Amino acid sequence: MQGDEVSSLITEEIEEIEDDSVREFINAIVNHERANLDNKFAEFNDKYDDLVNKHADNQSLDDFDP
Amino acid sequence: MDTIQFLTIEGKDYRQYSGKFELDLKVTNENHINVIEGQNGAGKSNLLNAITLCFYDEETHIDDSSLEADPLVNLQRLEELEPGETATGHISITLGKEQPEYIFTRKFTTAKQSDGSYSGTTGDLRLKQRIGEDMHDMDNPNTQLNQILPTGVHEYFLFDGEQLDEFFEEGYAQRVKEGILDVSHIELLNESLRHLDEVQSRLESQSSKFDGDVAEAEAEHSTEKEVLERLNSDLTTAENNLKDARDRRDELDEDLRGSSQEDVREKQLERERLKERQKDIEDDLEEAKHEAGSTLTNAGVIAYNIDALQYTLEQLEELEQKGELPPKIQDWFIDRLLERGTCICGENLDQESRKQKLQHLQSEVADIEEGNIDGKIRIPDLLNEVDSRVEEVVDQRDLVEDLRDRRRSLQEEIDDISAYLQQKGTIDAEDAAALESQREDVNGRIEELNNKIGKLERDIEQQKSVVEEKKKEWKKELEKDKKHEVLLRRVEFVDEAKQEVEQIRGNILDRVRRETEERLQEYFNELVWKDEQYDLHLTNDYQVEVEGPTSAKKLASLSAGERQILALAFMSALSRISGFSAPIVIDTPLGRISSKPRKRIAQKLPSYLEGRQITLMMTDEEYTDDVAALLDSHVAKKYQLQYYNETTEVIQK
Repeated sequence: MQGDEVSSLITEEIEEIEDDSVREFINAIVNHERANLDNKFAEFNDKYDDLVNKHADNQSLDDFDP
Repeated sequence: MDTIQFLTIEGKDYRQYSGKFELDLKVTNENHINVIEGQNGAGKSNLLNAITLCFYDEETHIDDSSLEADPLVNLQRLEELEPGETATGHISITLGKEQPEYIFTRKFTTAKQSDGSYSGTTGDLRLKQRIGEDMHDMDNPNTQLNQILPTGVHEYFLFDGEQLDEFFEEGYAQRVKEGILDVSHIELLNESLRHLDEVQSRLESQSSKFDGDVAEAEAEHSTEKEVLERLNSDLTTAENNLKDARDRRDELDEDLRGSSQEDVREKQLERERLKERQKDIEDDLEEAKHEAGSTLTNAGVIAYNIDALQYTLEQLEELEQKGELPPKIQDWFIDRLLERGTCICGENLDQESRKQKLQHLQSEVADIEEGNIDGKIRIPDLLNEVDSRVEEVVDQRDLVEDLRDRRRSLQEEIDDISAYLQQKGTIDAEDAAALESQREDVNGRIEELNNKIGKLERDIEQQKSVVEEKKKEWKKELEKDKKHEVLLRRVEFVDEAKQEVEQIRGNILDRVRRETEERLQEYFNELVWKDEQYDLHLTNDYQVEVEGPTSAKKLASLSAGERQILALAFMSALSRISGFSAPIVIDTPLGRISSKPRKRIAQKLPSYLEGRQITLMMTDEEYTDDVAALLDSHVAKKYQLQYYNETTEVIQK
């Protein structure tokens, strides 16, 4: 056990995600959730919005097929 | 040690620990077990309580109501106080791998009132954390603790072995489910999904200000989502109400069990036994219906086609007798003709078209022969099997009917008990009648709520499709204009992330349930004192089924010792699977367990939980010479708790 780790059950599953942007995004949100699991007053909206904007806009245009 | 461990537990004036006390618990990878020995009441459970009080501000292992009323500060210390004065104690726990990394401390204070009674308070959790070479005060102790040993999972690491048999008493499936959800860290994924939903709503609402059909499509989608949210909220309310109603029925059952009238008590116990049997029959009935269905599917194909099969067989036999069935032509014969290039009649076979015809004949012949053999061998076999298969279907249908009859008959007995209790109208039996009448009302409410929940679940499924449809229409409108590309891309990205998180959640639950089942089976069979092998299954609704060599054994029929072993196996499985290698503390791990499995537990537990620090708190009846001989090669530190004159002294052995 490491102090700031997400359970290996979750991290092993995240590693399997092929799309780099989605993998990095999910990694970032579960770490944020992990750090604030007992903190109901933690800030989520701005953090999530920023992460979505950053990772969605980084996603290769080839991955985007509207 | 490679994993984090309790390095020391130190305290002052906590319950029967007068003055300062300290236990050095540091272990190594090879010697990873600590043993704390003491008589009942010597203070073992309060060491476990000291840990949970320090970490979570609660003492989870109080089993004596008189202790609950005792103040936290040591009584001898309090006797020195004058009314209006206060005394303070504390618990400090140092954690780390090899050297202190975290020191958690919580103070508690007890005040002596003017009437001689006591009142107490506990302070906030404090943390000193190593940063570089020095320990620093941190302002986020709960967050740090939660990262080391989350509140939701601590009971699988810090627990009382003697209370474990209660784990598999009535309502255990819910506890098993919660255990699996806790260690799977599903809450973290649920929170991620909830926040992703919120992001999605914010993104979607951006389009409400767009021109034309996009805004209209967004409004329609949003309206349908609100309907879905209302349905989900109604479902949550109904499920909570159902839980309350079931709890109320349990309370009424307990009141009836504790009735002053013997016949009421007996009837209630009889009803509980009948309901237990009814539950077993329900399980057997489900299984029998499933098997009857499979057998009917297999037998039905033959039974319904018996005339056609008989006709085909007759035709084949007739053709065979007339010599009209194609003769068996060996592959090698055609191969040789092709090689030679000349037929036995002398015709030239070198022409490409003739070659192709022969090759085609070769493949056709194989199929025809296969059909021939199938027809001539399989059809008589099938016709021979038909009687036995139909007989099997009839037997299984009879079993289903028999189980239905038994279920009906048990229900009649249960109804009779209810009627008996309700009509007990004599003066001294009024309470029983009133309780039973309330019980009937609650039962009606439970049935009503079950129906409501079923309907809501169906409505939610339908509404999900409507929402999905409306979302597609909205996206279609969005796609029409290039300027919405960024928004659409973000929406698609969140959709994709949600699908991945849902997939991860499903995978983890499947994996944890499967691994729990495997380890439960392995550990239970290794620990239990029976020589025969048991099959353990964890069903989709988290029921544990124990199947012996001859028949299924119901959990209710397991002894308290067997249930304790089952729970110990379950706890060991969960803490191993959880992905957290937190230190484990077990109070009275071998209480209520007889000699043979006790030795097995002492032998096996170190390997089940290898790589983690384990602290076992045992009485001398548990820590026998046999147990010590098996454990001692893994033991790092041994302590004796000596209780004298209302004070516990900690002695290192």
